[in-house]
Amino acid sequence: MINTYLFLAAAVCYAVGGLGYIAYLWRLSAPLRNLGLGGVLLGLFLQLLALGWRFSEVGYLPIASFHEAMSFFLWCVLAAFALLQIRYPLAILGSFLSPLALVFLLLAVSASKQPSAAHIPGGPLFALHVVVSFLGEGAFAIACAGAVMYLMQEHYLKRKDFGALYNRLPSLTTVERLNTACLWMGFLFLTAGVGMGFVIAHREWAGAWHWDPKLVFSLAVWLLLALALAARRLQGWSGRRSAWLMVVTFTAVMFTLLGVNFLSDKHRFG
Amino acid sequence: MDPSLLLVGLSHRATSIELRERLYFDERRARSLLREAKQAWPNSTEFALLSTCNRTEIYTATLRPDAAAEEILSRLSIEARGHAGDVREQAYVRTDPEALSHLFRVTASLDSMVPGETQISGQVRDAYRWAAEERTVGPYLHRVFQKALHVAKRIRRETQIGRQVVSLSHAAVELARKVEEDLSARTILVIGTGEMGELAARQIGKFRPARLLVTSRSLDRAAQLAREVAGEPRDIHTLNRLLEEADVVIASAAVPEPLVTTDLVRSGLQARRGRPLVLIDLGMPRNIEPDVHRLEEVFVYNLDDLERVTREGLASRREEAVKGGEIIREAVEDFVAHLRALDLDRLIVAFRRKMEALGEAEIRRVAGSANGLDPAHAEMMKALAHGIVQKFLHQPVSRLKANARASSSNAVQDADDPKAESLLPEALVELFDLKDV
Repeated sequence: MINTYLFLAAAVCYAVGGLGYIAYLWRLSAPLRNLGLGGVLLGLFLQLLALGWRFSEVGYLPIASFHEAMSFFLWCVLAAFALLQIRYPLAILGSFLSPLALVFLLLAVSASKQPSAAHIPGGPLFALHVVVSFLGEGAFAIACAGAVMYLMQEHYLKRKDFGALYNRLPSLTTVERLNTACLWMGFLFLTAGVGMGFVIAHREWAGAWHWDPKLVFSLAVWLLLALALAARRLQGWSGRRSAWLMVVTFTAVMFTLLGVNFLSDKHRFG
Repeated sequence: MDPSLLLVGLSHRATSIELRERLYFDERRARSLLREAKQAWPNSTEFALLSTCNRTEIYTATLRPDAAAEEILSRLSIEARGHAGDVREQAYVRTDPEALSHLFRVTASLDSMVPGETQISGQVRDAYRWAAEERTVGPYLHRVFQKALHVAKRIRRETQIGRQVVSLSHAAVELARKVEEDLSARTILVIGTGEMGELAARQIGKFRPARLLVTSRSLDRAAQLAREVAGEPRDIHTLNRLLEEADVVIASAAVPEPLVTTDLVRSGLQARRGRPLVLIDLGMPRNIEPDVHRLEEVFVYNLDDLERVTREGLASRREEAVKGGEIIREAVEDFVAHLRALDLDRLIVAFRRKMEALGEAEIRRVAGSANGLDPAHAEMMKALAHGIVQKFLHQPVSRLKANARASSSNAVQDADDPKAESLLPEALVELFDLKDV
């Protein structure tokens, strides 16, 4: 019960922080920026307590229901954002990530709390598989927000539209650097997540390869990412093309996480 | 009775440059006027003089605003030599809160020709410092000027007023920085040695780019400008190679046909491997084919674009000035209320009265419970209560006065720090419930 209250308190903090960041886009003021970051950090702390509480009750990483899985995913996205703020202190990124985070928050709050009928493997390897996969996907969410910022700024620069948003958005290369960092961070985490996933599948389902939809899509997304990174390195694919690729990748990642969830009977939340 | 803030001034809004020149006071003249005013302006108790190329304004604390304004106008008319009539016609005379609001607007540069310029708050600070050093400001103007500087800082922080570009060379640099923010790691290529190009090269040179290459049809002129801006001269015949290396190009050559063509830039794109290229065309006729802008990761801006940036920057600053005006309205209201509440003399009197009333009430209570006191005892009790109240008051009142003196003398240095203002009067109001003073 306490973890429910803690999560609700965290949700309020996220909502306030998200709205603070969105308002920051309209009026660049330090109090709004601080409200945004403060809401996110306090929410992260409260949700961590909620997760810890739930963990101590059930004895495994609480992702059994769709609500728990979405909540944990939200935590990973915002934790990745908070970590990135240390290296790339771009408050405006919060304004672009907030709508996405608020959608995840609504999904988490309204999602079913019925635990999954599927067997949830125990052990630290499974917990690590979920954590690194979600962190990787969180990094893609941020890269997607960054890609949207890039595409908008590029549009303004090409159209020679020097309005209010043009002034608020950072330079193209700043966003490009952020996206590259997120792409690599996401790729490394996802590689580790997929690798661990195969080990777990081998252990749980007797044999490494199954035509499980989530496995297939995960591998497809991983290949897409590997191609994107290769294109950047070898072909100098960057800028606009890279930003579009990031949006496509994130859509595929979300489809793998959420859409395919309902196609797989044993590899699903809720 | 409290003093009023009086402003007498002339500014670029209504006064010709000739008259403004005559009424311009540099530091030496300003200090001399302030010293003279101590005797010559008996109707003002405190005064400060702000003089810039756009305005000359005198702020005073006075109990008789009309008489004080007359003294100041007469003095300014003498300075105007032959334009005395103009001074009286064009000068504005305001008293608080309009005078307060005007000073706040001026300090925050909302009244400047280019709103958001930063010079004016420094000039207000100088005016305040000179007056403080000449000992012509007292507790009243100290508070007023500190608040003005504080409000200006707040407006700069809370609005976008100083962020939009308003000059062409600045616009060129800011456009380049919207593509590549960190110019220190980049290569800048300057084509041509025209005046605009030179100006932009100097502006961009401030960001200490990794390499600043200068090319021109005359290698000698390129070498000369390169020396001046700490760059490297390059032969214009290697332009295709230079375009591959450059991240930002500033072109201002006097040429009949564009030097930078779409084909020339396209041929170098492969070697750039997706690195963005910004080309700023300051030439007339244009140095860069407009279609170059259509190439991927290539951005071309010409003089019209830069003018639009500066025009929008100015318009945007004016919009921000409206937001700043709202902040000033709030600040003036707060400040007037603050001044009223913190008027130290009145506060001390009220404090004293409250304590004495408490002493008297206590004597009446004791006298009542003892069924009346004989006159000798009553007198003794009264003296005792009065003595205790006076002893009790002595230390806090001395501390309050000393603190007010200390915060006035530190006021210029600490003008930006709101914490530097004494909190003791406020504490007294709170502790002894003196809000109705």
